[in-house]
Amino acid sequence: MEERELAERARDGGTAAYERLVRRHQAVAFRAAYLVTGDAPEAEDATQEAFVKAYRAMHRFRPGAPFRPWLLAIVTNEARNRRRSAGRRANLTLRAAAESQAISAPVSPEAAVVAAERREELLANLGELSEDDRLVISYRYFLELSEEETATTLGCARGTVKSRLSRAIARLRKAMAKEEDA
Amino acid sequence: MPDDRRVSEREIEQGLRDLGARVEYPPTPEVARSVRLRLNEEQSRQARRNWRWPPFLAPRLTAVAVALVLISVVALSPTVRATLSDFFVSSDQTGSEAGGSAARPEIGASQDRATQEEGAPSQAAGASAAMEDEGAFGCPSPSVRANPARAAAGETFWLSGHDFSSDCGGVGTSPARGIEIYFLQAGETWPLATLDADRNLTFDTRLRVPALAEAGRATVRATTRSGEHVERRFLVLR
Repeated sequence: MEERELAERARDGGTAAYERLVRRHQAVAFRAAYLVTGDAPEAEDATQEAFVKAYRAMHRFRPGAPFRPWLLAIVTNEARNRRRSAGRRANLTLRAAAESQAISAPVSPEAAVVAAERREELLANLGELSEDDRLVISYRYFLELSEEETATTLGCARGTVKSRLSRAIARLRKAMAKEEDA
Repeated sequence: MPDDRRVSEREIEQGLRDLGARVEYPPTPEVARSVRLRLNEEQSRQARRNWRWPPFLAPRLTAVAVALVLISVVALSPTVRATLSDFFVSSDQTGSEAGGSAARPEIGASQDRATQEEGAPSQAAGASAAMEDEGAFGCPSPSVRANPARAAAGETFWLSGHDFSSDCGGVGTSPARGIEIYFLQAGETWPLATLDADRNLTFDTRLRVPALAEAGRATVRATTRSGEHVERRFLVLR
């Protein structure tokens, strides 16, 4: 069944249709929540609560609009609120998978080690950025949302996403250059 | 070290894209089922709530209906209306002296009054009781009102009376005659006036607080020839 039809049915109160929608989007929703909270149990709670709130708010969902960014905006808000009420900063401990044939072409062992170090370095510096910078980068590159989707999810204009992304990457580059100098 | 030897922004972007494909997240929990169960539970709870309170029995509507019934009872029953009216007027006029309009006969009342009470003990047993009995048969209950309800000894006040009829229960209704007004305080009784009700069964007269009255509580009493009496509390000021 098409997502639009599922959303229509859910809008009319169909919980079975909504369950199918949830199943389709629960992975990206959980990852979005995890990128905010940095804590798996909290991300799970936020995801579940956000799905319930989204169902209650389905009457505000514009028919025909893309469901994913609308949902992710609710997920992000819920995750942010939970993290803030817990009174702590997100302790993002992302890990990058090791080199594998499925992901990249065969490389020399030395090149693989350098690439892995570079990824770890990038992740570490990403964790040091402000929440706004970190989220715009994470949503855009890790969740692979389009600029439009990222804008809807973060509740800002598309131009804001562009400029924020540019500034965040510049900061990231600066931080990595400092480490190189050190 | 020159800038171009460092990592460029384009490389950072490329690195981030590469990283995005490799980031390891915790396993995605299965929330679809639990979300649906929660929503179903909410819906059934809502349905149970609706079943308990169908629209015509909703708490607010029930409260409004009860209030309307009470207002109707008050509006249609002269006895209840008069009692409530007396109560609220008394509260307004006497402040801390607020209280019911009926009181037991005072010791030391005038000789005539004593005779009347002896001759008709059941009638003298309290104004409100007598009035309620009358009200039950549809007779209007007499009432008095002092304005102001507090004054110093020697000062004047207005006393108005309503529903003073002489032959309630008979064929017609005629104004009561020879209504005696007394001022009672601490066992003392001062006759203030004797007057007749007008054709509207009302009277309105100016009276003077007895010069010997002391500061404190007092009672103004209107007694009809049939021995019924109505009272109103009064506060004598210093």
